[in-house]
Amino acid sequence: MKLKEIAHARSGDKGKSVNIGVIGNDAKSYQYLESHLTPKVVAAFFNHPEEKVKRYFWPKLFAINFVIEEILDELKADSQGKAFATALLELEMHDGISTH
Amino acid sequence: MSVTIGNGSGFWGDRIDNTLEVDYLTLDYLSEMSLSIMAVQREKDPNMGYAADFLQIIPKCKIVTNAGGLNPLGLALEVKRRYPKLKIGIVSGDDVLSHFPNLSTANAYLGAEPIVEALRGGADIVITGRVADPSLTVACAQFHFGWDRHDYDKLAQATVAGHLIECGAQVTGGLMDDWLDSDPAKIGYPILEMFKDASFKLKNSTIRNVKEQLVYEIQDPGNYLSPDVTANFLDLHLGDRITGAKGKAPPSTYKVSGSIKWGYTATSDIGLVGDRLKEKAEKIRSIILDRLENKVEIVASLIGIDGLCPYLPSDSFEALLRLSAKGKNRADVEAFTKELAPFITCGPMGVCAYMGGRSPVRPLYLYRPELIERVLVKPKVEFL
Repeated sequence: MKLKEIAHARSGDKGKSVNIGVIGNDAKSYQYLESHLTPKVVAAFFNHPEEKVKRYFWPKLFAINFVIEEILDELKADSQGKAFATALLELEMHDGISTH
Repeated sequence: MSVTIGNGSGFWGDRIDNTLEVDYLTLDYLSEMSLSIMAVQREKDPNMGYAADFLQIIPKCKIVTNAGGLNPLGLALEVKRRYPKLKIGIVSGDDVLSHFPNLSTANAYLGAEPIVEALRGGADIVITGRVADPSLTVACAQFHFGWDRHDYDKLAQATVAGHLIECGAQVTGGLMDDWLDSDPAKIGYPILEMFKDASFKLKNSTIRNVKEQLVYEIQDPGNYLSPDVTANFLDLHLGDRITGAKGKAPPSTYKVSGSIKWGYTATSDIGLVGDRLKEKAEKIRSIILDRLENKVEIVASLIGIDGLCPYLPSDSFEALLRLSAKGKNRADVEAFTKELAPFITCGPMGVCAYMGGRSPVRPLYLYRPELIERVLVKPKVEFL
C-alpha cells in the first residue's frame, strides 16, 4: 500500500530544511501513520540521518509534520523541496511496515 | 459585521490579481531570496531595491504590501507620483545590517504593529520592507476590528488566516493532487471573510486544500512563532468557519532574514536521448570540471531520471541534463557557461535541445537566518 492511498501531503522549505506535512484521510489512517510513519522510516526513504528528522503530531488535523534538517542544496534541481511531499506519498507500506 | 481580506500576489513573479473585490488587499512579494535579488538591484542603482511590479496595481481599496523590500521609501515615492491624492504609509526599520557586519543583508521580520499604526494614521496604501508574511493580514484585521496587541487569541486566529492566504493560489487549488480534474484555468486568488470574534471563512478554497496549506512551511504546530503572537494551531476547527487558534505573547526576539554573498552561480541545460544516460551525464560533468581545473563546483541533475526526485529513480530513454555551478570568482563561473554548448558536436550520440545563448551568471547569496532582541529594533512609520 502506498502512503498516498491513506494520506495527502505538502512540503516546503526553511533554509536548508524541508518540512512535509502528511495528512491522514481519516482517524484510522492517522492512527496508522502515528505508529508506522516514523522518523526512521522517513529518514530511510530520503537516505538521510535519522537524528535529523523530527516529527510533530497534529491529531485534530489527522496530520504529522516532519521536519528534515540540512537536506536541501542550492545547486540541486529541487533546491526548495517542493517535490518532497509528492515523493514521500509513493512510500510503500507493507503489512504495516515500510519496505522502501 | 465582517471584513473581507484578499491576497493578490503570493511572491515576486506571481501573477497579480487586481480584480479582488475586498475591503483590504494584501500583496506579498517577498520570499526567502527576494531581498538578496533586491540587494543586487540596489548595488547597480541605489534608487531601486523594491518590487517595481507593484506599480502596475490600480488601488481600489486599502492595500498592504511588502513590495518595499529594501527600499520602501523609494517605492512609496513612485506610488505617490502616480496617485498624489492617496496617503501612503511607509513601514521601515527592519534593516538591522549594522548588527550583523558579516552579512550582506539582514532584515528583521517586523510584525503587524507598525502596519496598524500606518493604517490608523489614515494610510490608503501601506508599503513595508520585510515583515512576517501573515502580519500583512493580521494588521488589516487588527486595524479593522480595533484589537489590542495583547488580544493574543484573536491575533493567533488572524495569523492562521494570513498563513493560509500568504501564498496566494496555493490555497485556492494550486499544488493539489486533483489539479487536472479540477479546472485549473479557474484557479484564482484567496479571499477571506473575517468576523469580529476573529473566526473566518475562506471563500474560494476546500477543507482538503486548507489542511495542506496549514502544514506548509511550519515546524511545531503547537508553537507557531510570529512577531505578533506565539500561536497554537492544534485545536483549530475547520467547520463552516475556521476557529480555535490560541495565542500567547510573541518571542522576545525577531527572526532576521539574512544573506551573505558567497560568489556566483549559473545553470546550463542540454537534452540527452539514448542509453546509459547517467554515465554520459557524469562524464560530461567530469570533462567540464577538469577543463575548468576544479575552480567551480558542479552538480549534475538528470531531469527525467533522478534529477528532480533522487528518491524514486526511473529509467528513461531521454532526460534533460542540468548542470548547476557555483564559484567564488565571476570569471570562473563565466568560463563554466561556455562549456556545455561545445558538446553539441563533441558530446555523445543523442545530444539535443541545447537552448541557444550563454546562461546568465548570477551572484549567489546564501540564506543566513539570525535572531535579534526586539529591544534593538525600532520599526519606523512615515507618511507621504
